[in-house]
Amino acid sequence: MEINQYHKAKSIEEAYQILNENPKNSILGGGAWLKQSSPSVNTLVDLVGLGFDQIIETKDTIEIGALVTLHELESNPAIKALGGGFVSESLSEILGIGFRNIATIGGTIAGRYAFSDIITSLLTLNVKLVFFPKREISLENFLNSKGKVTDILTHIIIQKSPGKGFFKKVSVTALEFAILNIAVFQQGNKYQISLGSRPGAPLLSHEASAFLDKQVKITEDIIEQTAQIVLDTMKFGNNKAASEDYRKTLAKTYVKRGIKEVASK
Amino acid sequence: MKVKFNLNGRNREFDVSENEYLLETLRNNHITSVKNGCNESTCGVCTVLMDGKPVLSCTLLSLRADGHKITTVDGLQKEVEEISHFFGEEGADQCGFCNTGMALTIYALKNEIENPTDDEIKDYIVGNLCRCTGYHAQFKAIKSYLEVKK
Amino acid sequence: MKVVNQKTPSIDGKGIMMGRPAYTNDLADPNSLIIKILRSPHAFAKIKSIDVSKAKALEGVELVLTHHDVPRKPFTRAGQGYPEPSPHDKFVLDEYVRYIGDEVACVAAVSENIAVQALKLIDVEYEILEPVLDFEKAFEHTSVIHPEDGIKEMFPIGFEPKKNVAATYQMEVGKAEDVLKECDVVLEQSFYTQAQAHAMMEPHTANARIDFQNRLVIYTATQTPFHVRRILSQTLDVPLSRIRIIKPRVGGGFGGKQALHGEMFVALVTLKTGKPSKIVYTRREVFESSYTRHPMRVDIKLGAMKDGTLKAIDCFVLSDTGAYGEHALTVFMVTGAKVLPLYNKVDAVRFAGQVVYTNHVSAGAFRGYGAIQGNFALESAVDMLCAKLGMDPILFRQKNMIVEGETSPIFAIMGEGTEGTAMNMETCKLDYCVKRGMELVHWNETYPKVDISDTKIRSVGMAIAMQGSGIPYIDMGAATIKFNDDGFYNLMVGATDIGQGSDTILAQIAAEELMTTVDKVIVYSSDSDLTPFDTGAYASSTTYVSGNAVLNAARIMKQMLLKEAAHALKVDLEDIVFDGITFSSKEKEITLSELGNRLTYNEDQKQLTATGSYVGIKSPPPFMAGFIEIEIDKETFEYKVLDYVSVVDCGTPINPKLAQGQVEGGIVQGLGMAAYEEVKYSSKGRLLSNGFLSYTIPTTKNIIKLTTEFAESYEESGPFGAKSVGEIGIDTPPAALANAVYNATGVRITKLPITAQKIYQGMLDLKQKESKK
Repeated sequence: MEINQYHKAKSIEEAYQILNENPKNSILGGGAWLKQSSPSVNTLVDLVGLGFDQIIETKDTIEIGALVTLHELESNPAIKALGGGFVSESLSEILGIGFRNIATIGGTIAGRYAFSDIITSLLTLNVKLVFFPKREISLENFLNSKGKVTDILTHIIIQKSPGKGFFKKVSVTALEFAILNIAVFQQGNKYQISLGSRPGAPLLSHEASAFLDKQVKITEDIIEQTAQIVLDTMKFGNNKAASEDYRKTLAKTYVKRGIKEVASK
Repeated sequence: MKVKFNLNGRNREFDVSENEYLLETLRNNHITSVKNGCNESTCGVCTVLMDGKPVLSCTLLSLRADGHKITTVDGLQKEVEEISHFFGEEGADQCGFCNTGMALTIYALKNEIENPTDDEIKDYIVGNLCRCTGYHAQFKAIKSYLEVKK
Repeated sequence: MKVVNQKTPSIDGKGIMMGRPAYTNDLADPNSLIIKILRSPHAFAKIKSIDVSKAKALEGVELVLTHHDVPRKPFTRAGQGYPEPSPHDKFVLDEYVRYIGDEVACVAAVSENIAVQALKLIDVEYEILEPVLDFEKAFEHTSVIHPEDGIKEMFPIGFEPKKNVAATYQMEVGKAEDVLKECDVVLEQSFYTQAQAHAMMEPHTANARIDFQNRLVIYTATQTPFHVRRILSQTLDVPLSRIRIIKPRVGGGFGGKQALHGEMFVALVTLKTGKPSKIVYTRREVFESSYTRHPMRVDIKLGAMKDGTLKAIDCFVLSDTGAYGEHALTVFMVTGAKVLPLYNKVDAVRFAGQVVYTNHVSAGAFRGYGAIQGNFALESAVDMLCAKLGMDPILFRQKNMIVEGETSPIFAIMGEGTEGTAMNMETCKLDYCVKRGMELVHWNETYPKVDISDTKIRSVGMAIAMQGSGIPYIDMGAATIKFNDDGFYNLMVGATDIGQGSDTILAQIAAEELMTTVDKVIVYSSDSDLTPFDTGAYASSTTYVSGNAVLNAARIMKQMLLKEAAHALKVDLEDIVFDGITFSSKEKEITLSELGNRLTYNEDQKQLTATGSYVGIKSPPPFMAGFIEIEIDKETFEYKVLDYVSVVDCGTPINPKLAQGQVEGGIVQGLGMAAYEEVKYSSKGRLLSNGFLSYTIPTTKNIIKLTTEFAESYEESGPFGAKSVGEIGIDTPPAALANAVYNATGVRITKLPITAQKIYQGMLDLKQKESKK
C-alpha cells in the first residue's frame, strides 16, 4: 500500500476538509480492510482520538462510533442482546480476533463489501448511518448508493428491538468469504430477510417480507412459499466458490430454517 | 515520522514511514519473536498484544501504535514459559512458527474470558493458523493451562 | 524402556515459544542485500529480449541477473540422493518461462523497497507461446514445454521431453487383463486428485554470507541441507569444500522444502558481490512459485470373485508434474508401490503410467508422496467393488489385506526410481488396527448411516493405508556422539528437524542406549560442516534410518566408555557394570562425570567420539486404519467431521505424544485435501488460490475430535522396535471421507475435493437417474 502522507486530524471538520482536497485522500478506520485492497493513497486522515470509539446505549438506541472495532462490538452486552445474539454471531466469523481488534465497523460499512457478514445482519434491523457534515441515511439506502463517499461516517445508530434474529454464514471455515450469508429478524410478527455474498451485496427481500407479514399463521407451506419468493426475486450468481444453483438451494434452506427459528411460538 | 509506544515495558521511539506496519517495525528492531507468515491478515503468526488485546502486527499501521502498550513474548517471559509447559506435555509444539503468536492469544484469552467454553476457546484462537499439529494437542494444552489458571 | 516410548516434552518447544531467535530469517546477516525475483506473467513464453539497464542504474541496486549472466548447467532442484531420479531440466535462469510465477530475473538491492522498484524497471519482451494447461492433453501436445538442449535424465526414467513426458514406468505381476476376464465382478473407475499446497506457516527463505575463511555459508529453510550443498556445488562450479549449509529451525516443510527454492540466488548474489544477501518469499510467492502436490488421474480396475476374493488390480496413473520434473518419477511410483501391496494376495497386478509436463506451478514432494493419491483411488474403488459384490467393506478388507509375515512381489519390483527391495512384513498389525478402529468409532452402531434428525444424517467410512520407513540401499543417515567433561554428551546428526521433533526423538534414542536422560544429550543437527551426513527429512526416514544411526553411534560410545572405565579402575572389561551414571566393579567405582573430567584433564586424556551410520536393507511399512464419522445436512450437504479415528502400527513410538502429533497433523492435512483444499487456476494458467483467503486450510474450529491410538508392535530392524510415522497419517482421509459420504447419501465422489456442492450435484444426478428408470 502506498501512502504519501499520514495526518492525525485535530477535529472532524479538519478531517472533512482534508478528505475533499484530493480525490486520492482517504479516511483511516482501522486500516484492516484498506490493507486487503492495497490502494494508492495520497493523504490518509486518521480520526483516532476524536471520540468515535464509543458505544452508547440509550433507552431506545445503541449509538456506535465508526471507530469501534468489530471485537468491541461483538462483546458489547447491548449488541449481544439484540435479537438473541444474531448480530454478535454475524461478527464472530470474520477472520480471527487479531483482525477484529483492528477492523472497525465504520470501515466495514463504508466499504459496502458484498461479502460482509455484519452488513447482512444489520440490514434486518432499523439502522441509521450518521455522516459528517450533515447526512443521515438508512443502511439500506447507503448500500444502494454508488460512487466515492465524500463525507465521513461517524456513527451507526441501531434502534433497539425486542425481536428474534437468525444468522448463518455458509462457509467451511472462518477464513473464507461466505458462500452465502443469510439473516432473518422477526419482531411483532413483522419479518426482515436479508441475503449477502450472493455473491452480490447484501439485500433485503421486501417481497418476502410483504408476503410473510400478511400471514395470520406461519405454516410449513407459507415458509416454503416465502423462500420461493426470495429465489424468484433475488439474484444469485456463480463464482469460484459456488454455483448459482447451489446458492439458491442454500438460500431456500436457510431462509426457511431462519423463519422457523424466529417465528413467534 | 516518529511514533512513541511502550514496548515490553520500555518507552520507545521509532522512526517509521507512513505505510509501515508494526510487524516490520518490530522485526527491524530485533524483535524476531514476531513472525511474518503471510503479511495479509490471514494467518495470525504475527500476533502481538496492544494494551493486552491480540492484534495482527502485519495489519496495524505503526503510527497507530502511538501511545499504546505493545507486548510480545519477550515481555511476558514467565507467563509464556508456563504456557509452553502445557504445550510440551501434550506434544503440541512441532515447528513452533505459530507458537509465539498463539501464546499471546492464549494469554489474552485467559484475561478476557472467564471460564470459556470449548467453543469460546476455539473462536478466540481460530485466527492463529497451524499447519503442523492438527490443533487437537494444542487445544488440550490450552484447556489444561486455563484449568490451572482458574 | 526408560526414555524411549516416553512422552518427553520436546527439547526445543519452550525456547521457541519464548521467542529465541531460531529460524532462518531470524539469523540473516543484518546487512544482507535483499533479493527480489522478477516473475513471469505468462504461463509459457520465450524471452526475446530483456533490458535491465534502468534497474541497474537505480541507486541502491547492487546486482541484476538474467539468463545471460548465470551458468548454463542443467540441474534438478529436487532434494534426492545422487544421481537423482528426477530429470535435470532446470537452469538457474532460462530464456523460457514455463509457468506464471517462473523466474525471469534476479535483483539484489540494499532495501526491499528499492528491490521492488527495480523489478518494475526491467523491460522484457516475450514471445508468448501456447500454454499446456490440461494434463490430459499434455502428451504429444504441439506446445513442447522443454524444447531446449542440454536437459537430461540421470538414468533411464522414461524422460521424453519432446512429448512433454517427464517420466514413465510400468510393471506387471501375472497377467492382469487375463485374470480380469475370469472374474465374476469387475469394477472400473477413474479418480482425480487435485494439486494441494503445503501452506506451511514459514514462507521459504534463505540467506548467504562469505565467512572469514572465505567460504560461502548459507542458512536455509530446507529439508535436505546436504543435497542443497551438492546441487549448488555442481551447478555453480564451486568446490563442495567451499560451501557450508546450515539448516536452522524450520517452520514446517511437509515436502515443500525438499527442493531448492532461493538458495541458488543467494549463493550467486553473495558470490558475485561478496556481500551477504537474503531472499524471503512472500506468501503469494509460496503459493505461486514454490511447489504443489502432483495432481493425478488414477484409473483403477479391480476384479473379484463372488466370494469376495480380490483377484486382480490394474492401475494406470497420469500425473501432472507442472513446469519442472522434480520428484516426477518417484511420487508416481509411490502411488503404486505404497498402496497396491495392501492387497497382496491377488493373482495379478499391473501398475503403469506417465508423468507429463504442463505450464502449471511445478509439482514436487508432499507428505504421502503419491500414496495419498493412490490410496484415495484404491480404497474408494474397494468400497465401490463391495457395493457391486454386495459385500461388507470391512469383511472384504479383512479377507484380502496384507497380514503379518506375508510379502508382496511389488516390494521387490518397485523402489523409488529404481528396483525395489523384497521384504516380509515382520510387523503388520492391520487386523488389530481395523478391529480397534471399529470399536473406537462405534462402526457397528452407525454403518452405513443413521438418521439423526429431519435435517441431519450421521455416517461412517474407512480406509487402510501403508507407507515406508526410508528408502533401502539409498537413504543413509549418520550420527556422531561426543563425550564431555562432567559426563554429558553432544549428539550431532545430519537428520533434519523441520518441526516433527527429530532432534528430540533422536536424543531419546541415544539416551536410552546410553542409559541416561534426554537433558544430558545435547543435540545439534543439519550443519554440513559440523554434523555427519544424512539424506534429510523425507521418505519417512528419520526415525528408522537416522534413529538406527544414532543407536549405532550410542552403542559404539557405550563400548568406548566401558573400556575407558575399565582402564581407569584397572579391571577387566567383563567386570564393569554400568547403570548410566556409575561404572562399578567389585571394589571400585567411577561416575560418568568423573570419567569425563579424567579423560579431559587428568589422565589418559582423550576425546571420545563415536560415529554410527545406517542404510536400510528394507523399508518396513507403518500401517494404519482410518475411520471417519461425519454429520451431513440432508438439504445443503454441508458436513462436519465429528471424529477421525486412527489406529496406527508404527512399531514402538519413540515418543508417543510426538508420534501422535505426526499422525494427527497428517490426518488434518489429509482432511483438508479431502474436503476443501484446492489449487485453482484461471483459464490462462494464473493461480487463483494464492493466499489463505482463496486457499482454505483447516482451522481449529474444523477439528471436533481426533482419536489416535498405537498398536502394540515391535519391528526388530528398527531402533528399539520403531518404524517411521511421519507420513502415514495423511493417506486415509480422502477415501474414508468419500466412503462415508457414499454411505450417507449414495453419492460417490471420484474427484477431490469432496465439497458440499459436489455432493448436492451428485444427489441431483442420482435423482435424475431414478426418475428415468
